Amino acid sequence: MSWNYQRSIDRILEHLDSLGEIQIEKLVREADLRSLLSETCCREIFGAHVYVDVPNFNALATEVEGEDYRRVVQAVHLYQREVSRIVEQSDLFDALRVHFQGPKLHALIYRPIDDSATIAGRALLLQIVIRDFVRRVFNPEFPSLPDIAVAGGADIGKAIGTQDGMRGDRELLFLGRPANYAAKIIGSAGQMRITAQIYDALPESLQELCQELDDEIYALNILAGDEVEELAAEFNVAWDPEASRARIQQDKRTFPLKDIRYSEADTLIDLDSLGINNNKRVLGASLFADVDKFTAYIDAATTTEQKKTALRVLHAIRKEMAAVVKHDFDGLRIQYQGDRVQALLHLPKDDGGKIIDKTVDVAAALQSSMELCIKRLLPEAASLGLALGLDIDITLVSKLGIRGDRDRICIGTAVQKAAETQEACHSLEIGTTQRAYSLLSEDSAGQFTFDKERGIYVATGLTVEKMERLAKAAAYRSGSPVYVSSSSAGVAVSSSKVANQREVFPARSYSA
Amino acid sequence: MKYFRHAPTAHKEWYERDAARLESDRKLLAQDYPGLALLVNDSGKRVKIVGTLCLTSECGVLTPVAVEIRLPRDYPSSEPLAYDTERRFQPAPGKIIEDRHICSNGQFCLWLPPNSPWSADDPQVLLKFLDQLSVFLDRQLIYDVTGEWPGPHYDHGPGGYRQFIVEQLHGDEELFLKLGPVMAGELSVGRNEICPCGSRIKF
Repeated sequence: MSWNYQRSIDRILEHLDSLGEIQIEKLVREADLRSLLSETCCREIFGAHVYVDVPNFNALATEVEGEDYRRVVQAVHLYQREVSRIVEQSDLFDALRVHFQGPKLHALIYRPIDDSATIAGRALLLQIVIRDFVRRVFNPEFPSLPDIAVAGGADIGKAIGTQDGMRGDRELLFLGRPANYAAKIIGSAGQMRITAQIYDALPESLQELCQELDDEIYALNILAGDEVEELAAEFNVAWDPEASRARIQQDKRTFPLKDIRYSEADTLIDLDSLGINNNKRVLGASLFADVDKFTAYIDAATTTEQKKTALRVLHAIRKEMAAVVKHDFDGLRIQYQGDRVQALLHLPKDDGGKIIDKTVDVAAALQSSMELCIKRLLPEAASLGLALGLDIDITLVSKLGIRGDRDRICIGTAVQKAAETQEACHSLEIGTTQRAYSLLSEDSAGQFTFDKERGIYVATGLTVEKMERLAKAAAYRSGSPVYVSSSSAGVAVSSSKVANQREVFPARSYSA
Repeated sequence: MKYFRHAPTAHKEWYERDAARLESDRKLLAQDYPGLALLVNDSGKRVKIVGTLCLTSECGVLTPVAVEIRLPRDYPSSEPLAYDTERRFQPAPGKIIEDRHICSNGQFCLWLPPNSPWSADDPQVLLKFLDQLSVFLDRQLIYDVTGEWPGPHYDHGPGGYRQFIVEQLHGDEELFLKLGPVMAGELSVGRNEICPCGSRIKF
């Protein structure tokens, strides 16, 4: 399969036709957002978005091999289980675990409704508690692994909540500055950060725990264990490291190391079959496709109608991006992350060159869909564009959580680097790391130039059509005949012969 | 009438003399290039083919190019000339329009005139011309991407002719230098003089 213009147009039209009327209302009372939100039932939610990342997991998932890899897999799953409980349990934070983006938690604290001081306080506290959990509970429970360290970011404000998918495969999406910016302020491992908006909403006693960094970002001081527990109690959060340790130990008994399995993949990974006892370790190319400037676009929408239009545009873009990855190229659409899509390509097995060339093809197809199809059908998307980043290396692929509430995840250095590369790119750009670039075929590599400032290779405006023309240029250079067919549908000039085509030896052009 | 030995006869245009050719060309367009139409302009006695050539890529992207093909008054003895009516193609940065084999008036330079594949006797010659034009436009779209003409081509201006002549002389540059001034009319050689090519035979 490959990308096709008309197929893309048809898909987008079909999705727009089936989308239905989008409703956006302000969230005014407490509700179970997983049940409430859908593609068309959207809410404007005031809340604090908290991201907590574990950068070490990426290196461990790529570099560790053999028996120790099972320990890494077990650690990833049990970390996610306990952090999810900390976020969601009613006696703890009673917040929403949006999802895990690989090892990175995205949580939303939105209760009590519109109570900015309490919400900001609990956002700060959640970061403090997770750091405390890692230091006092998690690392001692996994002594054979290197100590992990967390890094976090939090922001507060209004974001639009929506949800994709059906039944057990639903994915929450939050669009707007706080949902986006909180992830962008994450710093080095061990540091938890908040924005000035959170800082300003905090009670004075909590502001004292923060130190201002540059650009209106604040870092949280490191507290001693008993200070964390006291502070948690003040906010009615029953943080008890011993209880947490007991839960982790119970998880270890439920999911013993001997039951943790991982394997390679000769055929396309069935994500639904994955879980704590069935994981994949593959050479895979990670691809992130982000709708550049979408956050500014949706934040600039002031009327309900404008917001509905922005959401309609996003739904069309992300559905098409997923279809290109999945249906046009047999890739894996891992996750929607707000206005970006994460994908993985891992076939043919262990053939880095072919995998990365195919990933560039996917990236070019995504640019084609956006530039030629989305913008044709939705002129209101004219100011938007896709920024893409890719990298390749050993990647852990799994599904976290239980039954209907599970996150597809990919963890590895390539996932992290692909995301960072995408974040360094702008509209119309496809960025690759040095590692991915070195594996590209000569034809694909020729499309990229090194950007010294960003330290990545960038191809601008690379579409499927452009790649076709580049391939055809080689055919013309060889002096071989080409084949022409013409009809009411247009004129096709091909370098390979198909029935009913006329052979033409290209004339040697001249200009007076 | 007594002033005339013969009654005056109006000059007939090619399409009036050869209505069958006009009809067969019209049919050819309708069948193979339906985006183009053959128009007869009665006032100017000009015939042209106008319309859009929609180039389809393998992935299904259509690129329309508006063209005008002017048929000469001695058509089909002489070949038509094709033009980029909407100036779809522009010079690449730092280059001139002739680098992509288009004249400043928008005329497509499909080939060096002595190399023209046009054959007046061939009933399919218009189709072959349009196919060559389609290939030429396909190469223009590649030029849009690469900034370089794909495949062999002649330099523009006199350089192209020089290349052509040298090729006819089997790449003998020395011979070209000897004969060049004669061909350019800069050197006159009498019919009984020795040929400047060095063959020692009469010119």
